[in-house]
Amino acid sequence: MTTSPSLRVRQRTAWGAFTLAALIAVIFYLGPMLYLLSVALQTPAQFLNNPVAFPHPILWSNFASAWNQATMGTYFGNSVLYAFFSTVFSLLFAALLAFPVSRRYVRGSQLIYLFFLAGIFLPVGLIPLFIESRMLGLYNNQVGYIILHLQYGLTFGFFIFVGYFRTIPTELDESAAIDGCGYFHYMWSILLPLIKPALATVGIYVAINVWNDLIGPVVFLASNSLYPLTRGLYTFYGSNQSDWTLLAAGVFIVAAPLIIAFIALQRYLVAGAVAGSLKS
Amino acid sequence: MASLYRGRDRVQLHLGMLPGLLVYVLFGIIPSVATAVISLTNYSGIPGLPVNFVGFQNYVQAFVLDSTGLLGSIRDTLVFAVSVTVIQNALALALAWLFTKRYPGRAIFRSLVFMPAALGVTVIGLTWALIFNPSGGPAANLLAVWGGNSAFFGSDTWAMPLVIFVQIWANLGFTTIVYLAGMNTVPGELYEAAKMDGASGWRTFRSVTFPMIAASTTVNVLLAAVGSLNTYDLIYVLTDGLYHTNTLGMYMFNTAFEGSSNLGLAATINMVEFVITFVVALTLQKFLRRREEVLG
Repeated sequence: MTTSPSLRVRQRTAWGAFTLAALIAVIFYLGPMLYLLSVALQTPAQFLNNPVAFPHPILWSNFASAWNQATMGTYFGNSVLYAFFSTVFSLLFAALLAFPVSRRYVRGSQLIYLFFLAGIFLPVGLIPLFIESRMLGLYNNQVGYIILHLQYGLTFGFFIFVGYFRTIPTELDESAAIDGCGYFHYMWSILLPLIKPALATVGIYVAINVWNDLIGPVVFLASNSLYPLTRGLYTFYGSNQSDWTLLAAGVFIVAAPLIIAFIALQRYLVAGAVAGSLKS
Repeated sequence: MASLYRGRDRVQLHLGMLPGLLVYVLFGIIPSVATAVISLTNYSGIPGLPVNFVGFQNYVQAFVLDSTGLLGSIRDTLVFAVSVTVIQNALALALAWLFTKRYPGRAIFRSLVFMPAALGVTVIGLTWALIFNPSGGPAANLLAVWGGNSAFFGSDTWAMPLVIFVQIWANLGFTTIVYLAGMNTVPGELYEAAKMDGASGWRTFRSVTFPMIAASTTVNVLLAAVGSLNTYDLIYVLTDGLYHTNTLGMYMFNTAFEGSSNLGLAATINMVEFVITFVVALTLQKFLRRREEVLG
């Protein structure tokens, strides 16, 4: 997001604004992350006496200890599995639903759209979901956990894709049909590549959302070996409440990939924030 | 048009829609509506126990027998939601305004403020729990300079303000980005005109920028209000609803999944939460849309 050219004309470097923005960003946003890293590198002895000082000596082994003691490898694998599959399937289902509705290729397209629109105002029913998860055998297993996380990406994707498909000319559908290209094949090899920007924006939002979900694993999972990173870390916190150097290392291990993902994918997140807010 | 897909393609077209519709009905619509039904039963989290229809017994329990719990929870929810909505929007407006200026490092500062959008409640909650560690750390040291000490998230006076602070910290970037997007659509000529009239920076903001971004304000206020009325995941990490931070969502969650696991009563608390959210959202929407019309 850049300032519009018309605004830029009248602007010289605003040092007052610079100072304020820098203070807020550095003290309140960079600061906590640096402090987290600093504690993660401290010895327990230093943390007890002087946690705010620079780590001396630097203790790298906190990371390895946290990784091993918290069995983060397992949690990490679960998180990747959950985020990947629930994102891929929810986006695929959303696209397969959004295309016919966007084109009004099926009867009741308008009705389906309204049906989804009404859903925006409906609350999340966590308790019925919990009961359903048990009835349908989705409780405490990996496939079930993924299925229970399809809903968010489906609705978000549906609205974005309905709009996006409208920008693709219908002539394309016709020429594909004339060439004898089957519908599923057309969706997979032509339509989905064409809506890639929308897939990326929605997909990144959904993946981060599923990855960061803490309530989901508390409600829908019971076995330690099935936990994603969020609940794994939270459980680790519960059993090491006072061991902050180890904990900070654990939190940092979980935060680091998210920070890297954020830096790499920031423009999609901004696009998603703006698109999501315009939707409502 | 509809004849474009025939035979096998038409079957595929319909078949493709099925999983999406199924997911939406099963995990969107049904749970949403079923909360009302479950609130009329004595459903418990323990498998195997019989489930009975008990009428409005849970409502009597919540509003009459446990009324202090429910009223306290409603108060906590409103304190939390009003503070978050007002402060978050005020700060985001100021910050977005700062980000329209021209200076080095602007993009980096903006990124830093937006970063919590990717971090999630577990990392955010534990990081702030570390900073507000009562037995030493930046916050305790700072407070010690003034001769004070506090249990922070474990204190009746500090827990709520701190939970509000962390919630705002986490969502400030998002709100700022939406305001910034709005500010960038304000035509530059309006600023030129304001400058010609000799308007001050504050005057320009109040009379040009703020009215022109009414649509962004509507979105941000609504999202912050609805979001904060329903927040409990962050609170779960920070205080678990103790020390007067027991929002309705937290109260519902703990009633359902901790200790007694009384799902029927939890669904009732959830219904109270829905009704409050619905009324607030509707009222705000009406007010903000009218405001947009007046300003537009």
